[in-house]
Amino acid sequence: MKALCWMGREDVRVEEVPEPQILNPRDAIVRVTSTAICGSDLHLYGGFIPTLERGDVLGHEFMGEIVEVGAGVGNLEVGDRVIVPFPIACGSCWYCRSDLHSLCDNSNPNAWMAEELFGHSPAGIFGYSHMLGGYAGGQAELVRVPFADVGPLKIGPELSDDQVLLLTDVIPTGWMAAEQADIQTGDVVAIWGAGPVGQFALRAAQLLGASTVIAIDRVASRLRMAQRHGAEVLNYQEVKLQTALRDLTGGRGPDVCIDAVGLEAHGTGPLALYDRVATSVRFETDRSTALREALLACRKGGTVSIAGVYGGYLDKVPLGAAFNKGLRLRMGQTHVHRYLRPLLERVTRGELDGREIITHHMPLEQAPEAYQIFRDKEDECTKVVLQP
Amino acid sequence: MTAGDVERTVSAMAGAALVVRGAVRRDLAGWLAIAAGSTLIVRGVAGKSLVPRTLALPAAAEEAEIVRSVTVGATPEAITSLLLDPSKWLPGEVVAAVSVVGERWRVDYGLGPLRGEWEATVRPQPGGGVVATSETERSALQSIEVELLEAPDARGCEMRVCVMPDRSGIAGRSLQAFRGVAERMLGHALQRFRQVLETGEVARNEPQPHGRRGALARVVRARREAS
Repeated sequence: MKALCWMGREDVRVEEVPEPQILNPRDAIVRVTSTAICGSDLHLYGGFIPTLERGDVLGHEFMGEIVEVGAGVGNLEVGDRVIVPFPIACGSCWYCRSDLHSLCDNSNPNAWMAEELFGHSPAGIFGYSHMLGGYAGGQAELVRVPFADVGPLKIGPELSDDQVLLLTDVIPTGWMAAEQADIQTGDVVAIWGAGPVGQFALRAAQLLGASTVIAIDRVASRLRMAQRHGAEVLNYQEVKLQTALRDLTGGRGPDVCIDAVGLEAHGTGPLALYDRVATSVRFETDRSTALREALLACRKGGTVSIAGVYGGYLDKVPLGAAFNKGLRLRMGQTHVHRYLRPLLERVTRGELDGREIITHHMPLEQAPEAYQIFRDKEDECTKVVLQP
Repeated sequence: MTAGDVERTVSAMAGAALVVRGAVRRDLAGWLAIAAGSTLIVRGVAGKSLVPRTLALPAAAEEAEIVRSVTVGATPEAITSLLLDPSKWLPGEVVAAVSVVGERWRVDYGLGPLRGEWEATVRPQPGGGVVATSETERSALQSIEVELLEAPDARGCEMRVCVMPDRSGIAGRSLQAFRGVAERMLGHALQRFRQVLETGEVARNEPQPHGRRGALARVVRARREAS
């Protein structure tokens, strides 16, 4: 079968690889009908995430049709159309029973690697390094889904792939970013990053009662998209961001700041330059410009919610600001399983729609080109869907 | 690990000499000499060696035990029952096979070229858990003790595993010397145990699709498959 393989930094290729097999009774094999490139795939593409091996199959946003099920999967049948959450969760451990599926105790066969870096291991993730399970990803014709009796959700024919595909990651990720910030009616919410996660965090903040949402980015097409959905927008390359945010909030600062950027943040000024140099010589692993700005901008006693992925060690993060302003920090990989059903209902009602941000459809064979377009934001690219 | 006065003085002097020599060379060997010399100076001044701590070597007899704990969402009875059925969870990278006859276990293990067998008497403990006592002289392990405690918040049981290497044999001394590796192996075994009990299977990711691997990965995988 064909699959997109990581062959080195900024080098991905579509290769002919062996087909996946059922390895455990609770496995299923899914024939992928649509798979998206996530912003966090760009962290892999750029070589920011350790323990990726040449030849690894990428992709964690995918959906398709069940073609084989293991003996222990009683709730799925061959032919079922499913969406698959990006974290792999056993459904039985204390974390899964507590609806904290991205922290599953049992789904990462390489837990010891994650323990070395994080102290404890989170759940395994499709196509996201050996440290997070070493599972082959979904940017392929076929993919093995472990614990298939827990993760995949059946989808009826009335909804298209484009409407529901992003429920596998970015829609719940944007939702969780807003929900975990405990937004109150009337709150002002500032969102760093108007990419796919930022766009859905924006919608979620509005649905949860925010009076004003401010989207911050430098890409004009993404800011226009946010503006169309009722957000105030700020291009951080054109304004003094901290001053502008104070002006928009009567000097208080936003009640909630959401970092939907993560470890490859761009920025202006000496600290952004410092991050560039420090990450390029590996003195730090992540560029923290967006988080730094969010911590400084947030009002006293406010909440900073982190949805963008961070993988390692950050420098020049103003924890003093967070401490002295009494900020509440919320973060984490998305507990997709928790949100699938309620957000599917919102998709069905038309409150959330993946089609609004999908800008490109390309065949899997053109995935290397798609990665470049997405990374460079060429052709007003916000989201690419690949069709195997 | 503490050092006497004479040893401290010699350490400090030797360290200073190495640092000077390293500073003169200014190449890789020089940097290594500076690192080694600095360690000896610290040992001389502080009277304590950093090496055992850095390499995670045991610094005293009481650190001989290798201990790991894991919380398992199950009752003491279920945990003890699975512990007494090791064929379901013990085989892995290190353990090739387990046979159980009554209270006696025979475990065939291998770590690279090092292979051996371990025979033990395994007895369940009142209230849950087991104690395994070696019947093999100069083997890697003297004993393994598994204690169970009720975990808070209905999380099941806290399972504390204490492994005592047999320091009379080379295998046991190696295990003790590389306790960091041994702790990781024990942790991996406990994770497999928990997976079997909580999910009914062991999480696996091999074999699975992948593209062309790098040269080193190909060699490692070929050796793994051959073994």
